[in-house]
Amino acid sequence: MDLREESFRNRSPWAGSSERVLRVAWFFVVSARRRLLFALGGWFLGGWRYSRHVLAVVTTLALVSVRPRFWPSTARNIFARQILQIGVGSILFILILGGLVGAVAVVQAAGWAQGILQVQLLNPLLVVVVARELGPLFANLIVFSKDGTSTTSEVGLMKLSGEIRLLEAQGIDPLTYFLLPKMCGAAVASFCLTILFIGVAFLAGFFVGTAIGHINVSLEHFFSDTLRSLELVDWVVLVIKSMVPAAIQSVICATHGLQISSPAGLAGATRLAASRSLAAVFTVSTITSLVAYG
Amino acid sequence: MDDKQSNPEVILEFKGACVELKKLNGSVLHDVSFMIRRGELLLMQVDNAEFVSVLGDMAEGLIESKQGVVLFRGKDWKTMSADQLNNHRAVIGRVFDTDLWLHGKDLEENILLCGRHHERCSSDVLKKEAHELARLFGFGELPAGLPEQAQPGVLIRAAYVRAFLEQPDLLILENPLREEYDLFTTLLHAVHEAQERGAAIMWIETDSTIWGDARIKASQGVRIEHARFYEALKEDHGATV
Repeated sequence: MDLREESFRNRSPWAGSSERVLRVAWFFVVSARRRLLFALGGWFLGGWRYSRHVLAVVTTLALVSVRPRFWPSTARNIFARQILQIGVGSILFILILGGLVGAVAVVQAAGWAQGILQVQLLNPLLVVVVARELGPLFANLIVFSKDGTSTTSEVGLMKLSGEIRLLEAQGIDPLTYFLLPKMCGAAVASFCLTILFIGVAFLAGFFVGTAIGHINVSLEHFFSDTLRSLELVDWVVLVIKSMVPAAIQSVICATHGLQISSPAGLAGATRLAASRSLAAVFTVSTITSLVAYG
Repeated sequence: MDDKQSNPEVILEFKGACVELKKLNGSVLHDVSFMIRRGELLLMQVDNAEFVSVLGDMAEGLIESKQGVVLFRGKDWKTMSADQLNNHRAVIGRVFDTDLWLHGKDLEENILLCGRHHERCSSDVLKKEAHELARLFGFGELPAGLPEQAQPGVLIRAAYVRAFLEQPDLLILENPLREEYDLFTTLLHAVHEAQERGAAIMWIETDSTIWGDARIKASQGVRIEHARFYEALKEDHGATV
């Protein structure tokens, strides 16, 4: 009997038993458990390495972004185009969305608060629901829908058609020429959309609340009360939660595009970039909330 | 005599450079050695069309030499920092073997992109020089329109404008005529002007008929090299230019 088998027999609850079938079954359970552990470990390590890589790129680009020499007119043009495309192009959508969310939040909160809480508690509730969570989340999702997957395809096609090689041959670093302004543009656009979303949601909440008779103060009073409910930490969290996920998803999508080596890989890379971007948006949002309010 | 005049600066030097490419079925460029000084025109005849862009990429440090070194103005591409790489590549003009353009931008933006990005001169000066080059290569003004909608004749002349813009130190011309033989005189004239200015020119050509042309033989400062780069498939061939 070899050592492995002996060791297996000693660990097995049926050690010494002659029921071979049970021993084999136990062996498979142990081996499946081990395989599962290996798979989980591999998945975790892979995820950790990938997150570290993305965070390194984002941090490098964030540090580089404050140096004026990395902002020649070509990069500034891409930055402006990005804000125009994502930010300005999504204004109508964010207005509608913000209005609907504000109205629904007030109606739900007022209905729920009627018997239990005073109506004055609507303001902090709006701050918690809209400003802390939904505003940045919706803005990030809009930025992702406008920019995310299209960036992967765009960068992937640029690589396949030799445009990345053309840029490098001209001494133009694709990261600082293309990715830096795209990332910063996405972050700024996301922040602006968040502010717009929150403003419109509060406004819609006020009008709907007034219409259904649950708010009986002036608009000025309502807004000053709501703004008073926002603490310093809320503003910091607002900036982080609106800008960081947008920057990260921009980098994730672009780096997936850069890794494409054949047209067949384009669809797969786009799908992977999409799922990782969404995961990043929710992860950053959750971690920030846990750290700030947990 | 002034030392600089008698011994002009070496702009590009290949020292026993070697590259093996998977996309070329393991073909190897083996032991490539040559140098180009300021004001020189090196005409290279290459047997295998696939090697044209490979040589251009090696000259720009885009493909690393497996053995040996490629030096640009005395510095090995491999040892340069990212900033140095970009700054040196910015002073290299190149006509690519295939039509390479950024597809989201029109031809004018494509031509001016490198100059605008590196900001070595003002936008007005850049545009003025681009207009002059455009006229030299037969355009009324800078070509507009998207690259994918342009005729091949327009694209190749636009590629000349892009390559010669901002008076590069090194010009890499990869099969620059592409059967547009009526452009030969104009191109040769621009090349001579660049030589007089002190640029080094590496003209890589697969079309052997070009080399029989009397005009090119009569040019000053020309070295014609019939480089034989073997598809060695790991055999030990020596091919020194």
